[in-house]
Amino acid sequence: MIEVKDIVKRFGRKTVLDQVSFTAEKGQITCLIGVNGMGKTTIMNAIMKLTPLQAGEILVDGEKVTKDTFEKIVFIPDATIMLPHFTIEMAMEFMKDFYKNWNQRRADDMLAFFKLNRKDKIASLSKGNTAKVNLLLGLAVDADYILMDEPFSGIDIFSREQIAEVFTSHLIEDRGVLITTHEIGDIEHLIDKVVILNDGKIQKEFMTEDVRELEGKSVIDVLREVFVQ
Amino acid sequence: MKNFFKLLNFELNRVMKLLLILMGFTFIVQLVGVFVARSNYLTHLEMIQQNEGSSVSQVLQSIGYFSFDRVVNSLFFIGPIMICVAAIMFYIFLIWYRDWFGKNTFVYRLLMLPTARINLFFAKLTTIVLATLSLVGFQLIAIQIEMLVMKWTVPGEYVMEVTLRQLIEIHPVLSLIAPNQFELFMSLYGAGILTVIILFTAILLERSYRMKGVLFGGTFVVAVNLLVILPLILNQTIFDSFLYNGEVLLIILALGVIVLVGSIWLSKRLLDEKIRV
Repeated sequence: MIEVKDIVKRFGRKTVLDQVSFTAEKGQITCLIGVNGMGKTTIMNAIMKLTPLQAGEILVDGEKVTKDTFEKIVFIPDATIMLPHFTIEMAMEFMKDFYKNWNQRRADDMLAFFKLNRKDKIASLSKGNTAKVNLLLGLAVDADYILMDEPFSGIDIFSREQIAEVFTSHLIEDRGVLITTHEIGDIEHLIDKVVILNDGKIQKEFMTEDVRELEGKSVIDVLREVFVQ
Repeated sequence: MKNFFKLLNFELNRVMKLLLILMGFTFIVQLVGVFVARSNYLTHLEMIQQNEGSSVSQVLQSIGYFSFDRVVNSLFFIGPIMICVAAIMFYIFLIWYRDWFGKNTFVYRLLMLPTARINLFFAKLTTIVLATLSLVGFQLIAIQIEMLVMKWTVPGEYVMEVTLRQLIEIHPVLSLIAPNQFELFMSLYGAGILTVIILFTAILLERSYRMKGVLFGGTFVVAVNLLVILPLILNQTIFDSFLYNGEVLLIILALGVIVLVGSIWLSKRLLDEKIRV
Protein backbone atom coordinates (compact mmCIF):
# COMPACT_ATOMS: atom_id res chain seq x y z
CA MET A 1 0.00 0.00 0.00
CA ILE A 2 1.17 3.54 -0.74
CA GLU A 3 0.42 5.74 2.25
CA VAL A 4 0.57 9.49 1.83
CA LYS A 5 0.43 10.99 5.32
CA ASP A 6 -0.20 14.66 6.07
CA ILE A 7 2.16 15.92 3.41
CA VAL A 8 2.77 19.65 3.07
CA LYS A 9 4.43 21.23 0.07
CA ARG A 10 5.06 24.92 -0.38
CA PHE A 11 6.51 26.69 -3.39
CA GLY A 12 7.72 29.98 -1.93
CA ARG A 13 4.75 31.33 0.02
CA LYS A 14 2.20 29.30 -1.90
CA THR A 15 1.02 26.14 -0.18
CA VAL A 16 0.34 23.60 -2.92
CA LEU A 17 -0.33 20.60 -0.70
CA ASP A 18 -1.78 21.18 2.73
CA GLN A 19 -1.80 18.13 4.98
CA VAL A 20 -2.71 15.77 2.19
CA SER A 21 -3.36 12.16 3.21
CA PHE A 22 -4.66 9.20 1.24
CA THR A 23 -3.78 5.63 0.39
CA ALA A 24 -3.49 3.65 -2.81
CA GLU A 25 -3.86 -0.10 -2.44
CA LYS A 26 -2.30 -2.94 -4.37
CA GLY A 27 -4.69 -4.54 -6.83
CA GLN A 28 -6.66 -1.31 -7.20
CA ILE A 29 -6.62 1.58 -9.64
CA THR A 30 -6.67 4.80 -7.67
CA CYS A 31 -7.31 7.99 -9.58
CA LEU A 32 -6.08 11.32 -8.31
CA ILE A 33 -8.27 14.02 -9.75
CA GLY A 34 -7.91 17.78 -9.54
CA VAL A 35 -7.77 20.91 -11.64
CA ASN A 36 -4.40 21.69 -13.26
CA GLY A 37 -1.82 23.18 -10.91
CA MET A 38 -3.44 21.57 -7.88
CA GLY A 39 -0.37 19.52 -7.00
CA LYS A 40 -1.20 16.11 -8.50
CA THR A 41 2.18 15.83 -10.23
CA THR A 42 3.87 17.16 -7.10
CA ILE A 43 2.38 14.25 -5.13
CA MET A 44 3.75 11.78 -7.70
CA ASN A 45 7.15 13.48 -7.59
CA ALA A 46 7.11 13.44 -3.80
CA ILE A 47 6.36 9.70 -3.72
CA MET A 48 9.41 9.12 -5.96
CA LYS A 49 11.55 11.53 -3.90
CA LEU A 50 11.87 13.89 -6.82
CA THR A 51 10.83 16.90 -4.78
CA PRO A 52 11.30 17.59 -1.06
CA LEU A 53 8.34 18.04 1.29
CA GLN A 54 7.99 20.52 4.13
CA ALA A 55 6.11 18.04 6.32
CA GLY A 56 4.50 14.63 6.36
CA GLU A 57 5.71 11.28 5.18
CA ILE A 58 5.15 8.75 2.44
CA LEU A 59 5.35 5.01 3.02
CA VAL A 60 5.32 2.17 0.53
CA ASP A 61 4.32 -1.15 2.11
CA GLY A 62 4.92 0.45 5.49
CA GLU A 63 8.46 1.56 4.70
CA LYS A 64 10.05 4.85 3.77
CA VAL A 65 11.05 5.22 0.13
CA THR A 66 14.66 4.19 -0.47
CA LYS A 67 16.60 3.08 -3.54
CA ASP A 68 15.24 -0.44 -3.10
CA THR A 69 11.69 0.88 -3.26
CA PHE A 70 12.34 1.86 -6.89
CA GLU A 71 12.32 -1.82 -7.82
CA LYS A 72 8.72 -2.10 -6.69
CA ILE A 73 7.32 1.26 -7.66
CA VAL A 74 7.67 2.87 -11.07
CA PHE A 75 6.64 6.32 -12.21
CA ILE A 76 5.52 7.03 -15.75
CA PRO A 77 5.57 10.80 -16.06
CA ASP A 78 3.87 12.98 -18.63
CA ALA A 79 7.20 13.90 -20.24
CA THR A 80 9.71 11.74 -22.12
CA ILE A 81 12.43 10.78 -19.72
CA MET A 82 14.74 8.80 -21.96
CA LEU A 83 17.56 10.29 -23.97
CA PRO A 84 16.22 11.49 -27.33
CA HIS A 85 19.00 9.87 -29.36
CA PHE A 86 18.23 6.47 -27.84
CA THR A 87 16.32 3.98 -29.93
CA ILE A 88 13.52 2.06 -28.20
CA GLU A 89 15.87 -0.91 -28.10
CA MET A 90 18.62 1.11 -26.38
CA ALA A 91 16.09 2.42 -23.88
CA MET A 92 15.02 -1.16 -23.09
CA GLU A 93 18.67 -2.19 -22.72
CA PHE A 94 19.22 0.69 -20.32
CA MET A 95 16.26 -0.40 -18.19
CA LYS A 96 17.35 -4.04 -18.31
CA ASP A 97 20.79 -3.00 -17.10
CA PHE A 98 19.55 -1.27 -13.99
CA TYR A 99 16.34 -3.04 -12.97
CA LYS A 100 16.50 -6.54 -11.54
CA ASN A 101 12.74 -6.71 -12.11
CA TRP A 102 12.90 -5.88 -15.82
CA ASN A 103 10.70 -8.30 -17.76
CA GLN A 104 11.90 -8.46 -21.37
CA ARG A 105 9.12 -10.80 -22.48
CA ARG A 106 6.53 -8.33 -21.28
CA ALA A 107 8.41 -5.51 -23.00
CA ASP A 108 8.39 -7.47 -26.27
CA ASP A 109 4.67 -8.18 -25.89
CA MET A 110 3.94 -4.51 -25.42
CA LEU A 111 6.18 -3.58 -28.33
CA ALA A 112 4.05 -5.83 -30.53
CA PHE A 113 0.77 -4.67 -28.99
CA PHE A 114 1.59 -0.99 -29.54
CA LYS A 115 3.07 -1.77 -32.99
CA LEU A 116 6.30 0.03 -32.14
CA ASN A 117 9.57 -0.49 -34.02
CA ARG A 118 12.48 -1.19 -31.66
CA LYS A 119 14.92 0.52 -34.05
CA ASP A 120 13.04 3.85 -33.97
CA LYS A 121 14.70 6.75 -32.24
CA ILE A 122 12.73 8.17 -29.33
CA ALA A 123 13.18 11.73 -30.64
CA SER A 124 11.47 10.79 -33.91
CA LEU A 125 8.29 9.39 -32.32
CA SER A 126 4.89 11.07 -32.32
CA LYS A 127 3.43 12.20 -28.99
CA GLY A 128 1.19 9.16 -28.93
CA ASN A 129 4.02 6.73 -29.58
CA THR A 130 6.26 8.50 -27.07
CA ALA A 131 3.56 7.96 -24.45
CA LYS A 132 3.40 4.30 -25.43
CA VAL A 133 7.17 3.93 -25.05
CA ASN A 134 6.94 5.61 -21.64
CA LEU A 135 4.25 3.15 -20.69
CA LEU A 136 6.23 0.21 -22.02
CA LEU A 137 9.37 1.18 -20.09
CA GLY A 138 7.35 1.53 -16.91
CA LEU A 139 5.09 -1.49 -17.20
CA ALA A 140 7.83 -3.89 -18.25
CA VAL A 141 9.33 -3.56 -14.79
CA ASP A 142 7.72 -6.19 -12.56
CA ALA A 143 6.83 -3.56 -9.98
CA ASP A 144 4.03 -3.76 -7.43
CA TYR A 145 2.97 -0.17 -7.89
CA ILE A 146 2.72 2.05 -10.93
CA LEU A 147 2.30 5.80 -10.87
CA MET A 148 1.03 7.37 -14.08
CA ASP A 149 0.83 11.08 -14.64
CA GLU A 150 -1.69 12.13 -17.27
CA PRO A 151 -1.14 9.15 -19.59
CA PHE A 152 -3.80 10.42 -22.02
CA SER A 153 -2.81 14.06 -22.20
CA GLY A 154 -2.47 15.41 -25.75
CA ILE A 155 -2.71 11.98 -27.34
CA ASP A 156 -4.77 11.02 -30.39
CA ILE A 157 -7.95 8.99 -29.93
CA PHE A 158 -6.51 5.71 -31.28
CA SER A 159 -3.49 5.81 -29.03
CA ARG A 160 -5.81 6.64 -26.15
CA GLU A 161 -7.90 3.60 -26.85
CA GLN A 162 -4.80 1.42 -26.97
CA ILE A 163 -3.49 2.82 -23.71
CA ALA A 164 -6.91 2.43 -22.05
CA GLU A 165 -6.89 -1.18 -23.21
CA VAL A 166 -3.71 -1.72 -21.21
CA PHE A 167 -5.67 -0.96 -18.05
CA THR A 168 -7.95 -3.92 -18.59
CA SER A 169 -5.11 -6.30 -19.44
CA HIS A 170 -2.87 -8.57 -17.40
CA LEU A 171 -0.28 -5.80 -17.51
CA ILE A 172 -2.05 -4.01 -14.70
CA GLU A 173 -3.67 -6.92 -12.91
CA ASP A 174 -2.73 -7.32 -9.26
CA ARG A 175 -0.66 -4.19 -9.26
CA GLY A 176 -1.46 -0.97 -7.44
CA VAL A 177 -1.98 1.89 -9.87
CA LEU A 178 -2.08 5.55 -8.95
CA ILE A 179 -3.08 7.65 -11.91
CA THR A 180 -3.75 11.32 -12.50
CA THR A 181 -5.89 12.33 -15.41
CA HIS A 182 -8.27 14.97 -16.69
CA GLU A 183 -9.73 12.63 -19.22
CA ILE A 184 -11.62 10.53 -16.74
CA GLY A 185 -14.04 9.34 -19.42
CA ASP A 186 -11.42 7.01 -20.92
CA ILE A 187 -11.04 4.94 -17.79
CA GLU A 188 -13.97 5.82 -15.57
CA HIS A 189 -15.34 2.27 -15.61
CA LEU A 190 -11.93 0.87 -14.61
CA ILE A 191 -11.20 3.03 -11.58
CA ASP A 192 -11.61 1.47 -8.13
CA LYS A 193 -10.98 4.51 -6.04
CA VAL A 194 -11.05 8.27 -6.53
CA VAL A 195 -9.15 10.89 -4.56
CA ILE A 196 -10.24 14.45 -5.31
CA LEU A 197 -7.68 17.15 -4.71
CA ASN A 198 -8.89 20.73 -4.52
CA ASP A 199 -7.10 23.84 -3.25
CA GLY A 200 -4.24 21.72 -1.96
CA LYS A 201 -6.49 19.54 0.20
CA ILE A 202 -8.20 16.22 -0.21
CA GLN A 203 -11.79 17.18 -0.90
CA LYS A 204 -13.18 13.68 -1.13
CA GLU A 205 -11.95 10.10 -1.25
CA PHE A 206 -14.31 7.32 -2.28
CA MET A 207 -14.64 3.87 -3.79
CA THR A 208 -16.36 4.13 -7.16
CA GLU A 209 -18.38 1.00 -6.59
CA ASP A 210 -19.87 2.38 -3.37
CA VAL A 211 -20.89 5.63 -5.04
CA ARG A 212 -22.41 3.78 -7.98
CA GLU A 213 -24.30 1.26 -5.90
CA LEU A 214 -25.28 3.33 -2.87
CA GLU A 215 -25.77 6.76 -4.41
CA GLY A 216 -26.39 5.81 -8.03
CA LYS A 217 -23.83 8.34 -9.20
CA SER A 218 -20.98 8.15 -11.67
CA VAL A 219 -17.51 9.52 -10.96
CA ILE A 220 -18.27 12.48 -13.22
CA ASP A 221 -21.42 13.25 -11.16
CA VAL A 222 -19.41 13.38 -7.96
CA LEU A 223 -16.72 15.51 -9.61
CA ARG A 224 -19.36 17.93 -10.81
CA GLU A 225 -20.71 18.21 -7.27
CA VAL A 226 -17.28 18.94 -5.86
CA PHE A 227 -15.96 21.34 -8.47
CA VAL A 228 -19.16 23.18 -9.33
CA GLN A 229 -19.96 23.92 -5.67
CA MET B 1 29.33 -0.90 -6.98
CA LYS B 2 28.07 -2.68 -10.10
CA ASN B 3 25.61 0.14 -10.69
CA PHE B 4 28.37 2.70 -10.27
CA PHE B 5 30.31 1.08 -13.12
CA LYS B 6 27.19 0.89 -15.27
CA LEU B 7 26.56 4.59 -14.69
CA LEU B 8 30.22 5.37 -15.33
CA ASN B 9 30.14 3.44 -18.57
CA PHE B 10 26.98 5.30 -19.53
CA GLU B 11 28.49 8.72 -18.73
CA LEU B 12 31.71 7.87 -20.55
CA ASN B 13 29.74 6.96 -23.65
CA ARG B 14 28.00 10.31 -23.45
CA VAL B 15 31.28 12.25 -23.30
CA MET B 16 33.15 10.08 -25.83
CA LYS B 17 32.12 12.09 -28.90
CA LEU B 18 33.22 15.35 -27.32
CA LEU B 19 36.54 13.81 -26.30
CA LEU B 20 37.23 12.47 -29.77
CA ILE B 21 36.40 15.84 -31.32
CA LEU B 22 38.72 17.62 -28.86
CA MET B 23 41.50 15.13 -29.50
CA GLY B 24 41.14 15.39 -33.26
CA PHE B 25 41.01 19.18 -33.12
CA THR B 26 44.07 19.36 -30.83
CA PHE B 27 46.11 17.05 -33.00
CA ILE B 28 45.26 18.75 -36.29
CA VAL B 29 45.82 22.31 -35.03
CA GLN B 30 49.08 21.37 -33.29
CA LEU B 31 50.25 19.59 -36.44
CA VAL B 32 49.49 22.77 -38.39
CA GLY B 33 51.57 24.53 -35.72
CA VAL B 34 54.49 22.19 -36.44
CA PHE B 35 54.32 23.00 -40.17
CA VAL B 36 53.95 26.74 -39.58
CA ALA B 37 56.96 26.78 -37.21
CA ARG B 38 58.93 24.62 -39.67
CA SER B 39 58.07 26.81 -42.60
CA ASN B 40 58.96 30.02 -40.68
CA TYR B 41 62.30 28.49 -39.70
CA LEU B 42 63.10 27.22 -43.19
CA THR B 43 62.17 30.54 -44.81
CA HIS B 44 64.42 32.32 -42.35
CA LEU B 45 67.16 29.78 -43.02
CA GLU B 46 66.89 30.14 -46.79
CA MET B 47 67.01 33.91 -46.56
CA ILE B 48 70.21 33.79 -44.57
CA GLN B 49 71.76 31.21 -46.88
CA GLN B 50 70.83 33.18 -50.01
CA ASN B 51 71.95 36.55 -48.73
CA GLU B 52 75.07 35.52 -46.95
CA GLY B 53 75.82 32.08 -48.32
CA SER B 54 76.53 30.96 -44.80
CA SER B 55 77.50 27.50 -43.70
CA VAL B 56 75.34 25.33 -41.47
CA SER B 57 77.25 26.31 -38.35
CA GLN B 58 76.98 30.00 -39.20
CA VAL B 59 73.26 29.67 -39.78
CA LEU B 60 72.86 27.84 -36.50
CA GLN B 61 74.78 30.59 -34.75
CA SER B 62 72.51 33.16 -36.28
CA ILE B 63 69.05 31.61 -35.88
CA GLY B 64 69.68 28.62 -33.63
CA TYR B 65 68.51 25.03 -33.95
CA PHE B 66 64.99 24.07 -34.79
CA SER B 67 63.62 22.37 -31.73
CA PHE B 68 60.13 21.51 -30.58
CA ASP B 69 60.01 24.42 -28.14
CA ARG B 70 59.47 26.65 -31.21
CA VAL B 71 56.21 24.76 -31.69
CA VAL B 72 55.04 24.60 -28.07
CA ASN B 73 55.38 28.33 -27.60
CA SER B 74 52.99 29.13 -30.44
CA LEU B 75 49.27 29.72 -30.24
CA PHE B 76 48.75 26.66 -32.46
CA PHE B 77 50.00 24.53 -29.60
CA ILE B 78 48.65 26.37 -26.54
CA GLY B 79 45.32 27.30 -28.17
CA PRO B 80 43.90 23.73 -28.41
CA ILE B 81 45.07 22.96 -24.86
CA MET B 82 43.24 26.03 -23.60
CA ILE B 83 40.14 25.03 -25.54
CA CYS B 84 40.29 21.54 -23.99
CA VAL B 85 40.64 23.06 -20.51
CA ALA B 86 37.68 25.35 -21.21
CA ALA B 87 35.66 22.41 -22.58
CA ILE B 88 36.29 20.34 -19.44
CA MET B 89 35.38 23.32 -17.23
CA PHE B 90 32.18 23.74 -19.22
CA TYR B 91 31.46 20.02 -19.09
CA ILE B 92 31.65 20.06 -15.25
CA PHE B 93 28.40 22.03 -15.40
CA LEU B 94 26.96 20.45 -18.52
CA ILE B 95 27.28 16.93 -17.10
CA TRP B 96 24.56 17.83 -14.57
CA TYR B 97 22.49 20.45 -16.33
CA ARG B 98 22.06 18.42 -19.53
CA ASP B 99 19.92 15.99 -17.52
CA TRP B 100 17.51 18.71 -16.45
CA PHE B 101 17.24 20.72 -19.63
CA GLY B 102 16.64 19.93 -23.25
CA LYS B 103 13.73 18.19 -24.88
CA ASN B 104 13.73 15.18 -22.58
CA THR B 105 14.10 15.37 -18.82
CA PHE B 106 16.45 12.51 -18.30
CA VAL B 107 17.07 13.39 -14.66
CA TYR B 108 13.72 11.74 -13.78
CA ARG B 109 15.07 8.43 -15.05
CA LEU B 110 18.43 8.82 -13.34
CA LEU B 111 16.98 9.75 -9.94
CA MET B 112 14.47 6.91 -10.06
CA LEU B 113 17.03 4.20 -10.74
CA PRO B 114 17.14 1.54 -8.02
CA THR B 115 20.63 2.55 -6.97
CA ALA B 116 22.12 4.93 -4.40
CA ARG B 117 21.89 8.40 -5.91
CA ILE B 118 25.41 9.25 -4.77
CA ASN B 119 26.53 6.80 -7.47
CA LEU B 120 25.40 9.42 -10.01
CA PHE B 121 27.69 11.90 -8.30
CA PHE B 122 30.67 9.55 -8.30
CA ALA B 123 30.04 8.40 -11.88
CA LYS B 124 29.95 11.99 -13.11
CA LEU B 125 33.03 12.88 -11.04
CA THR B 126 34.98 9.89 -12.36
CA THR B 127 33.93 10.79 -15.89
CA ILE B 128 35.38 14.29 -15.51
CA VAL B 129 38.62 12.86 -14.06
CA LEU B 130 38.97 10.19 -16.75
CA ALA B 131 38.11 12.66 -19.51
CA THR B 132 40.81 15.03 -18.23
CA LEU B 133 43.39 12.27 -17.90
CA SER B 134 42.64 10.91 -21.35
CA LEU B 135 43.05 14.37 -22.88
CA VAL B 136 46.36 14.81 -21.06
CA GLY B 137 47.47 11.30 -22.05
CA PHE B 138 46.50 11.98 -25.63
CA GLN B 139 48.41 15.27 -25.56
CA LEU B 140 51.57 13.50 -24.45
CA ILE B 141 51.25 10.93 -27.23
CA ALA B 142 50.40 13.67 -29.74
CA ILE B 143 53.57 15.57 -28.78
CA GLN B 144 55.67 12.48 -29.55
CA ILE B 145 54.04 12.13 -32.98
CA GLU B 146 54.39 15.86 -33.65
CA MET B 147 58.08 15.66 -32.74
CA LEU B 148 58.51 12.79 -35.18
CA VAL B 149 56.80 14.79 -37.93
CA MET B 150 59.12 17.69 -37.13
CA LYS B 151 62.15 15.41 -37.42
CA TRP B 152 60.99 14.05 -40.77
CA THR B 153 60.35 17.44 -42.32
CA VAL B 154 63.29 19.53 -41.14
CA PRO B 155 66.82 18.72 -42.32
CA GLY B 156 68.55 16.73 -39.59
CA GLU B 157 71.52 19.06 -39.16
CA TYR B 158 69.24 21.89 -38.02
CA VAL B 159 67.18 19.84 -35.57
CA MET B 160 67.87 19.78 -31.89
CA GLU B 161 65.99 16.98 -30.21
CA VAL B 162 64.40 17.55 -26.83
CA THR B 163 62.85 14.88 -24.71
CA LEU B 164 59.27 15.07 -23.49
CA ARG B 165 60.57 15.41 -19.94
CA GLN B 166 62.70 18.44 -20.89
CA LEU B 167 59.80 19.94 -22.79
CA ILE B 168 57.53 19.63 -19.75
CA GLU B 169 60.16 21.21 -17.54
CA ILE B 170 60.55 24.32 -19.67
CA HIS B 171 56.92 24.77 -20.57
CA PRO B 172 54.64 26.41 -17.97
CA VAL B 173 51.37 24.93 -19.31
CA LEU B 174 52.73 21.42 -19.85
CA SER B 175 54.36 21.38 -16.42
CA LEU B 176 50.95 22.20 -15.01
CA ILE B 177 48.93 19.56 -16.85
CA ALA B 178 51.54 16.79 -16.72
CA PRO B 179 54.11 17.57 -14.03
CA ASN B 180 57.28 15.48 -13.96
CA GLN B 181 57.27 15.00 -10.19
CA PHE B 182 54.77 12.47 -8.86
CA GLU B 183 54.09 14.50 -5.68
CA LEU B 184 53.30 17.57 -7.74
CA PHE B 185 51.07 15.52 -10.05
CA MET B 186 49.17 14.14 -7.05
CA SER B 187 48.82 17.57 -5.41
CA LEU B 188 47.64 19.29 -8.60
CA TYR B 189 45.18 16.57 -9.56
CA GLY B 190 44.07 16.19 -5.92
CA ALA B 191 43.30 19.91 -5.79
CA GLY B 192 41.59 19.62 -9.17
CA ILE B 193 39.37 16.75 -8.06
CA LEU B 194 38.51 18.61 -4.85
CA THR B 195 37.56 21.66 -6.95
CA VAL B 196 35.26 19.53 -9.12
CA ILE B 197 33.64 18.01 -6.01
CA ILE B 198 33.06 21.50 -4.55
CA LEU B 199 31.57 22.70 -7.85
CA PHE B 200 29.32 19.60 -8.05
CA THR B 201 28.04 20.34 -4.55
CA ALA B 202 27.39 23.96 -5.55
CA ILE B 203 25.49 22.74 -8.63
CA LEU B 204 23.41 20.38 -6.47
CA LEU B 205 22.67 23.25 -4.07
CA GLU B 206 21.40 25.25 -7.03
CA ARG B 207 19.37 22.28 -8.37
CA SER B 208 17.82 21.77 -4.91
CA TYR B 209 17.04 25.35 -3.92
CA ARG B 210 17.06 27.02 -7.37
CA MET B 211 17.36 30.84 -6.98
CA LYS B 212 18.24 30.62 -3.30
CA GLY B 213 20.55 27.77 -4.23
CA VAL B 214 22.66 30.06 -6.44
CA LEU B 215 23.39 32.08 -3.32
CA PHE B 216 23.97 28.96 -1.20
CA GLY B 217 26.24 27.47 -3.87
CA GLY B 218 28.23 30.69 -4.27
CA THR B 219 28.61 31.05 -0.50
CA PHE B 220 29.66 27.40 -0.21
CA VAL B 221 32.38 27.75 -2.85
CA VAL B 222 33.77 30.96 -1.29
CA ALA B 223 33.57 29.54 2.27
CA VAL B 224 35.40 26.26 1.56
CA ASN B 225 38.08 28.06 -0.45
CA LEU B 226 38.64 30.49 2.40
CA LEU B 227 38.75 27.61 4.87
CA VAL B 228 41.42 25.78 2.89
CA ILE B 229 43.71 28.81 2.45
CA LEU B 230 43.04 30.14 5.97
CA PRO B 231 46.17 28.53 7.52
CA LEU B 232 48.31 30.24 4.87
CA ILE B 233 46.75 33.64 5.53
CA LEU B 234 46.86 33.25 9.31
CA ASN B 235 50.48 32.10 9.29
CA GLN B 236 51.53 35.08 7.25
CA THR B 237 49.54 37.63 9.23
CA ILE B 238 48.62 36.91 12.85
CA PHE B 239 51.17 34.13 13.49
CA ASP B 240 53.97 35.97 11.72
CA SER B 241 55.34 32.82 10.00
CA PHE B 242 55.35 30.87 13.27
CA LEU B 243 54.70 27.62 11.40
CA TYR B 244 57.02 26.02 8.85
CA ASN B 245 55.75 25.77 5.29
CA GLY B 246 55.56 21.99 5.63
CA GLU B 247 53.33 22.35 8.69
CA VAL B 248 51.05 24.82 6.92
CA LEU B 249 50.83 22.40 4.01
CA LEU B 250 49.85 19.57 6.35
CA ILE B 251 47.09 21.66 7.90
CA ILE B 252 45.87 22.62 4.41
CA LEU B 253 45.89 18.96 3.45
CA ALA B 254 43.86 18.05 6.55
CA LEU B 255 41.38 20.84 5.83
CA GLY B 256 41.20 19.65 2.22
CA VAL B 257 40.21 16.18 3.42
CA ILE B 258 37.58 17.69 5.74
CA VAL B 259 36.16 19.77 2.85
CA LEU B 260 36.19 16.68 0.60
CA VAL B 261 34.28 14.52 3.09
CA GLY B 262 31.91 17.37 4.02
CA SER B 263 31.21 18.20 0.39
CA ILE B 264 30.42 14.58 -0.50
CA TRP B 265 28.23 14.22 2.60
CA LEU B 266 26.29 17.38 1.69
CA SER B 267 25.92 16.23 -1.92
CA LYS B 268 24.57 12.86 -0.79
CA ARG B 269 22.06 14.56 1.48
CA LEU B 270 20.97 16.91 -1.28
CA LEU B 271 20.56 14.08 -3.79
CA ASP B 272 18.64 11.93 -1.31
CA GLU B 273 16.42 14.52 0.30
CA LYS B 274 16.40 17.90 -1.40
CA ILE B 275 16.86 17.50 -5.13
CA ARG B 276 14.09 18.69 -7.47
CA VAL B 277 13.31 17.64 -11.00
